[in-house]
Amino acid sequence: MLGPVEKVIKKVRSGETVLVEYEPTGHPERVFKEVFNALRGRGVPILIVDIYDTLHLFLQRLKFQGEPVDVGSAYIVCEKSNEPYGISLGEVPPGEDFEYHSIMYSKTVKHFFTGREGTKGVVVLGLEKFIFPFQRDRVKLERYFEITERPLISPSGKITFLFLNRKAVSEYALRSFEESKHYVLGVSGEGVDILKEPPEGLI
Amino acid sequence: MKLVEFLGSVQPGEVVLIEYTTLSPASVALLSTVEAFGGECTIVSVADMAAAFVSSLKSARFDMGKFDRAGLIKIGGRVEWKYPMVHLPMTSNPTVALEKIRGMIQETAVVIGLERFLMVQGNVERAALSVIEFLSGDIGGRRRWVILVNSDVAPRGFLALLEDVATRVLLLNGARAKVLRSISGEDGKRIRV
Repeated sequence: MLGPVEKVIKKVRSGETVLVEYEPTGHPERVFKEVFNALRGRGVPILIVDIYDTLHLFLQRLKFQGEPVDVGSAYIVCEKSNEPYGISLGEVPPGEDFEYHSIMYSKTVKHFFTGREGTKGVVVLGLEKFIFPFQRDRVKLERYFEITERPLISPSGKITFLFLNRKAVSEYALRSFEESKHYVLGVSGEGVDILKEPPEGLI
Repeated sequence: MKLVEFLGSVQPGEVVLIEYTTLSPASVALLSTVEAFGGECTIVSVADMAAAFVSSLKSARFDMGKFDRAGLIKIGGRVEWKYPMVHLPMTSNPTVALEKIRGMIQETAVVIGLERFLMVQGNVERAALSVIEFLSGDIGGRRRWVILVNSDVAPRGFLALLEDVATRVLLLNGARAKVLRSISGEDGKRIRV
């Protein structure tokens, strides 16, 4: 029987987004490992957006648990991260000028997306740290969702996994993240649940 | 298993978070940490929180002998209970203060009152991220960090970020602690204080 993560990985299609929201006392690093290995196994090129060294945290925890993951083949965009992993595409500082951030991000990842056929995988780690400084400002938060977050749902040749520490964000931010995602996985303790998926066959 | 044994198994490169409530015997967590490393550790005390814990331990007539060997770094505070290696102002820039502290710690540090250091910063969220960035950098390195945080006082978001960084998270409740998460497969285990 397939576990929840395997089920979603099997079903998710190009252009769709998966939110992995986790309790900080859970084991999101294990879900990351499953996602990364599954994408790599399918021959999907992987881009990791690493915010505030979250990749380093996950990799070190996996190493401590005797389950290391080699991300040497992944392309990495650093957003305020200091530990070097994978193939670096460059740095994009996180900030509250979302238009500027979008432009700089697009420039930095252009090399990964152009001239490459087929579906690509994007894994974003540390999303809560990006919005942490401004999440109490509703106006800024809404601009963030408008400019940076919701455009992910526009058609594209990629599958996106977003990892979010749900206890570090406000209820409003959490529900806003959940609303626009095709799938939502909840990670708590040693368990994972599918909290949301497309309503196929519902009617 | 006792807390002293649990802490003694912490490896270099780990960050252990011990959450306590205001009415729990958190001072015993400090004592257990100092004893687990034979006093070979540095106590980082914000706003005299260590002094408050030491006073509580003395009232309970615990043997404080190993505290003589521990180093002390103070951030803020006025109570003199031990000669500090350095005494930084409470309003220090977090990044500057933490880098200074990192350079002075050889192997093991136990930090008390971090949540209070955050409260006096102009931008609490940015200060919180500075702390997280600092601790993340030491994961997998040569130092051990034991962070004692009052979960009744710490901002919820900061606590969540700390829980995420930590390799092990304990919740202290009365005379028992529960392992909320561990990289050593101890999730859900109950530890005697």
